[in-house]
Amino acid sequence: MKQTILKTLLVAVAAMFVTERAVAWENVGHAVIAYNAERLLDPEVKAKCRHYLKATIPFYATWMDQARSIEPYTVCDKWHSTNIDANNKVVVGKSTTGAYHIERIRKEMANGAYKNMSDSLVKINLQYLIHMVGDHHCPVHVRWSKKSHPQYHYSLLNKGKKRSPHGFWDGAIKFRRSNWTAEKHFENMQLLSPKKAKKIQKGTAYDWTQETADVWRKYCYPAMPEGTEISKMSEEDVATVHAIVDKQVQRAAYRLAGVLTEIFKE
Amino acid sequence: MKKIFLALALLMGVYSAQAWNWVYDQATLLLAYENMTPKAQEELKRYLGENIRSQVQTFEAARKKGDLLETADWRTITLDSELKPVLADDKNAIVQIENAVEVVKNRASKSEDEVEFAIRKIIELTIEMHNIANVYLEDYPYSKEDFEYRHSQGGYGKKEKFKNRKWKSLWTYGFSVFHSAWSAEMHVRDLKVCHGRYKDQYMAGTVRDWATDMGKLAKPLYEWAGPFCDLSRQSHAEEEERFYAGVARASFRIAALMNEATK
Repeated sequence: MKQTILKTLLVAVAAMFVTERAVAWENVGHAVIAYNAERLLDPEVKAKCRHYLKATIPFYATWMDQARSIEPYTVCDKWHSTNIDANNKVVVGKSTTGAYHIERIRKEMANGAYKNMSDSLVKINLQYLIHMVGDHHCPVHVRWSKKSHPQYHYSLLNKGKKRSPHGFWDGAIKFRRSNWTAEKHFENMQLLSPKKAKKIQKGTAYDWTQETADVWRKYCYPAMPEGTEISKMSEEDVATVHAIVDKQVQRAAYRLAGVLTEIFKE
Repeated sequence: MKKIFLALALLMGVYSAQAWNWVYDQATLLLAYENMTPKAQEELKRYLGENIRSQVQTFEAARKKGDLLETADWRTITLDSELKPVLADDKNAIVQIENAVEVVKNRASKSEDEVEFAIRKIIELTIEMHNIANVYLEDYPYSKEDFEYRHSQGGYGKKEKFKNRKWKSLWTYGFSVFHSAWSAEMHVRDLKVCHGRYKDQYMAGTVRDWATDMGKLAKPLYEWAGPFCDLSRQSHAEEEERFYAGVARASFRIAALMNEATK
């Protein structure tokens, strides 16, 4: 009996874990970020991206979610998020984190160095960047240790059933607006002046991840505390969630566009 | 007749709001339209109306209402062991498309309804014959069946887990999941970037050549795929390219047919 209960519990925990990881920003969020970023690029940079990808940027928005099951890309399984330490600070320099690899790829491709790479390597690097920059703006793609931050390991409720915050925030972009296309999301995105865009694009992936962690602590967690019943959220609550997510999507899109521009702009 | 089809198409749009194959079909027709001559574009709008994107899946919508049931037999192509089309009767996309092109060519002596129906056949059956699910290879009898296969549920670097699914659904809906929130226009842009350079190659030849071309596209698939085969994440990614290759071919070939029929 004890063994059966234990087994059931393990299966339930495993299922939760798989579900959480399966939905990273969800396909919609990644498509929107990639589409918005492409719309922000100047023609020269966009043409170079398409030249190497042999596709539009959104086509590869979710590639990493598939690739993590495919050799030789299973190595990128851990690159979808980055750790936060006990003092709420982003962990720098750890090769099992996404922020590390965003910065690695940026450095490796900087100052025209991409020209010395094979076309296929440039393509793969772009595919990584397109996905990882998006991931690191998703409020639940910062890893909080259960030991240092037990309060962030909790459950929401959906029609009385437990649901992880990870699952909720990953899909929050389409929450109660599931029929929106990426184009509609672009129309909804606040466009920035060149000066403001430059300001937002500054910094490293570590800075952006730190900001995402702060967004989680200051806005997401208070907005959706333990036991929040998702199905009973008021319009005001939904608007708060959308405001948080849309801001993160805007940041991600501008920064992805910035990273691609920094690589390809002559 | 135009109004009936438009009403059916709009109804279909409501039915299929969550089924992205509707978006793929719209994208196919929008890209085809971009590649038509001004004359072909003019004739398309004259017979089908201004709202181009609504003019897809109208046969399917009609069948759901119990009309045009015979069109269900016109969607497929069968290829022999040398990948030559098998044309025993007119119950296949090839003969129906060829007949439709002749009707449009001779439209001066045809009724408006006949020409409209022929244009719809060109659009819808060209799309259908470029769907792998509708390509039957005699050497691989199960290519005709809607068999069950094992679809990867992922596994994130560990051993993949699989779930039984239907083969034809894969080729209709199965590749849209990774492109949620994509509009038809986004697909058009992507098809142009991915396949635009093959435009002339795709548009050249006859409907029968295109059937053989689809056979060549399908054959390597059926060399390993069949009932209860595993479709790993790796294979799924590779098959998506095959799926898109069919969509791109259909787009450019609808344009080629309309250009030929209206020149």
